Amino acid sequence: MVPAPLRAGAAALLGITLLLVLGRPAAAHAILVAATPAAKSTVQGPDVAVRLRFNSRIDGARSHLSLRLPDRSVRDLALAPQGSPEVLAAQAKGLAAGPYRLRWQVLAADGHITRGEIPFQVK
Amino acid sequence: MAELLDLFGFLSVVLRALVLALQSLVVGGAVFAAFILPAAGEPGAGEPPPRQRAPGERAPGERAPRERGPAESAPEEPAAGGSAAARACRRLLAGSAFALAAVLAAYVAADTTLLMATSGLRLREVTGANFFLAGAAGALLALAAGLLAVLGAPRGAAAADRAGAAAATGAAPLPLPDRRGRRGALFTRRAAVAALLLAAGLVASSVATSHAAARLEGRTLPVALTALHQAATGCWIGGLPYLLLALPRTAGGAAARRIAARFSLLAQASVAVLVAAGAGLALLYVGSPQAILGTAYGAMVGAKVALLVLLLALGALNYSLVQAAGKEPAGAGAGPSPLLTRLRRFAEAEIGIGFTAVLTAASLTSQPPAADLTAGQVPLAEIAARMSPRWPRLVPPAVRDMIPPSATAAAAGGSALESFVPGQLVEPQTAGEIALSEFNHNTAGLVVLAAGLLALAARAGWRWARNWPLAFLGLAVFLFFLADADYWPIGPLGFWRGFTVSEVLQHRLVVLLIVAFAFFERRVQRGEAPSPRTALVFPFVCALGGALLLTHSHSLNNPKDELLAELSHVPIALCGVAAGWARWLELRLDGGPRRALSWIWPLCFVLVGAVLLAYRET
Repeated sequence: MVPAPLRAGAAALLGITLLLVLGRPAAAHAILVAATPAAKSTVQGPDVAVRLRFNSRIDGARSHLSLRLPDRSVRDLALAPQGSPEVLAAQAKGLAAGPYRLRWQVLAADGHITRGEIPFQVK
Repeated sequence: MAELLDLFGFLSVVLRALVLALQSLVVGGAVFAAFILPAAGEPGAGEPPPRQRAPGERAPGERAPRERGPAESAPEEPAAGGSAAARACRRLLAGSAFALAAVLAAYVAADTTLLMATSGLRLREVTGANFFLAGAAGALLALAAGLLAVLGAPRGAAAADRAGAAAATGAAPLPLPDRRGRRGALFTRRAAVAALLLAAGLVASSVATSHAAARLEGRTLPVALTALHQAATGCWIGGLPYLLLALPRTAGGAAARRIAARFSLLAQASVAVLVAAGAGLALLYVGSPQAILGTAYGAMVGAKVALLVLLLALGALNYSLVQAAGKEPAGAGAGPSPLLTRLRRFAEAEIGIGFTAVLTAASLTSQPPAADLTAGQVPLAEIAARMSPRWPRLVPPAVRDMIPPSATAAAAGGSALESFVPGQLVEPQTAGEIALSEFNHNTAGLVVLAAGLLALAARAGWRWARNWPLAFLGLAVFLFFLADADYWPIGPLGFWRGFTVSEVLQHRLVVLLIVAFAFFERRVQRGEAPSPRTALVFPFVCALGGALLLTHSHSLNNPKDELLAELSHVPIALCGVAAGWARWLELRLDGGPRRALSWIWPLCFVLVGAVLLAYRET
């Protein structure tokens, strides 16, 4: 007969291992539904209006937009006050021609965080 | 940093699953204490007073004392008899409430850390977030519920507890000082009302972080339905463990029958509410019949419906047992009835499957509702094409294809709008990786199929087939050689170096566990198990594996491939759950449907093997 503490330890080990093997990283659920500028689109500079619409309510005060410039430096974008709860908007000014990546990160009402990137071109 | 975020992402689903499970236990405990347990103390019409049993005397239908837990064999003296049930229920209620408070605090802390690390917000700025407020409120409510469970007992109960404890330790039982506390009650009337209010508050704080609260318009209906769905789950699934604790600790069969009958009513009402609210939510969130198969969210909802069907089948059996127990002659009121013993066994499986459904719900919370995923739905024709059988891949791909490329995040520039979880790497699968994954699934399928067929043969009377657990040794050998093909003996990296890599270490642990399990279960199948309880390890692991397979969740960026993988993993998980609890009941029941159950679990194994054999990713 195996001693009880050993059995309990084996059971715990088994449970943790199963959890590690079968569990996978979680996914959050605020997903991007529509974007201006659209991914892989070309827009007219130098001022570009940014508007991202999501599938659920977004905590605008705790969400974040930034722009990776053609010289690979990153500029934070100031968010405009939220007109509707699922939309983030900002104004990117003085963009020279070249490739950009718009980086977004949002906090949904349930505490889930999602992020993504939208590549676009300014002419 | 990316690894840290990955870990947080994984933790959040585990914590969410724990929160939902513990919340159900707290709600179920409060409702059980307020409405079900007091039934024990009410005088029934024309009942003989409960008779005190001599030590060692066993009631008909009761298992041998060696098989029962130490707490279960506590003497059931008449005066404190109801209190023994209340004491056990109080321990579970207080324990789950305190655990819920701790898990909620951990959830808020993990999420706060993640948010601060990824967005540069300061702690003060995070504290106003919806998840922070709701989580902190929930933790405080849970703490209050725990304290109430400890302190809110009726006055007589504490003395009864002491008397019961003294009796249990063999000391002379003390005369009870008073009976002001109703016999069998966990709470005073006022404390019961407070507990119910706290439980309602907990459900409200949980709904505040649900999909319903994040909806864009028309939030009232989904919020109300979610609250009803969670409350009903708590009353039914969360209440069952309390029933399991209370029944054997209730003095006199008549009181136990009253508890069972009243819980049966509560369960029926809860099922009605749960199904109605769940159906409403499914209409809102899944949206179309095509989305049931076409999205991961829909597939998981389908899995919950399948679990519900299993639960309803068990519930129907329990209902007939309660009805039959109610018609037992009054003279049988002395000891626990064999029917109620069987009821408890079914309740064990019901608890297991019920909490599996709660875990599935946790992974639903991390996926976008199908109705929102209009662009990412997979057409049925494509699903049918992927699911059509093909000759399994039983030869491994070339070694150089199996070694994964260095984990450089490939350019993510897809044409569609993509959303990611922080820390998630974007790596398109290479043809070699796909081939390896198919080979892994197909080979594992062969092993499980062989085990299932042999178990069927053993059931049919072929004695040598009782060695079927040894088939799993094939799985261990295979995992050892191929799970980490870049290490010895196939790859260039040394054997010992693998111990420093967590994934490789995990695989090697699994290999060891499988080997140990194969030999252990072979002893059980040959009737050489050291004790009846050890035989329960296999069904429990089986059911747990199925439950965890339903708890995981997939990434957001490739809904199509994720869904197609999901569609084959859901049936595997459901078969695992069914096999585990069928075997559990076969071992636990004295008679009844044992014969049918002994055929069900090998059949489930065969099904799992077949699905794995047919698995494909192209």
